Amino acid sequence: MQKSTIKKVNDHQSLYDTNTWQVIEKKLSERKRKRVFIILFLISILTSGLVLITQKYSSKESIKEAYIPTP
Amino acid sequence: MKIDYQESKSDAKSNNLVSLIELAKTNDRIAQKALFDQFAGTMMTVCRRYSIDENNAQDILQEGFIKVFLKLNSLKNVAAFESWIRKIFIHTALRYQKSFKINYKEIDVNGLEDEFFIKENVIDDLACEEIIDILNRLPNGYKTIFNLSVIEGYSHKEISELLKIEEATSRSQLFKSKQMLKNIISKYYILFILLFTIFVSTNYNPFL
Repeated sequence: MQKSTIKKVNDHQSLYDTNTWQVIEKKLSERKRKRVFIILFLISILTSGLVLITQKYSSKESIKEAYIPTP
Repeated sequence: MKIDYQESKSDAKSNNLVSLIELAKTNDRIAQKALFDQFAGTMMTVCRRYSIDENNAQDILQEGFIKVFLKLNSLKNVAAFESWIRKIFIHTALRYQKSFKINYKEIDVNGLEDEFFIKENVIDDLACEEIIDILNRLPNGYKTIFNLSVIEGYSHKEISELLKIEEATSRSQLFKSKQMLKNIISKYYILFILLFTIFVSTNYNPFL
């Protein structure tokens, strides 16, 4: 096969479905939405974990304070 | 002062492409659509050459463009965008092909002559759609190796790494694909001559 033929094949424009772009756009937006949802989910888990830990810690501190015998 | 209009036109085109890519990197949908419009036709040809049918080619086109837009930020050299996008489409098509479980077998080609290149110019006379149509008549394994080696210009080492096969297998499959292609083209030409003869004999009478 000559180089010109290879170039001809490589440069050839084929017909494609007119709805292709709409499908791609929809899939890209879906992926973006999914990513945002995952980030929000992770942030919520982290914050709830932090709240739980601080609550537990603060309650332990308060119990300790309550049982310290006063001189 | 002489102005090279052809050169300035291509410069403007490449500048336009660079700005389009930069905008597309920021998830600008209009720029992404413009890039899609510019390359979809050419990439559809790549997809058609590696796919089993038109529906499969459409799926590869969609998947390929999604990959392109998601990986656009990793593109370092904007000037090499066209080869980069082509590579992504070839890899996507090959990933799709894995689901069809193509069997690449090593064939003993010793003693057989590579006759394809004797009548090589035959394929060069054909129109592009005809070439793609003829290539699509090859079995999937032969077609993939012919495309990678002849059209894309990959070496047998690169093909063996891409498809995870032996270099010798790639070589023998290419040889067989060329032989099969020659047979298809000769059948194609016989059919063409037959149809042409029928057409001439029914429509053209020199005595009238």
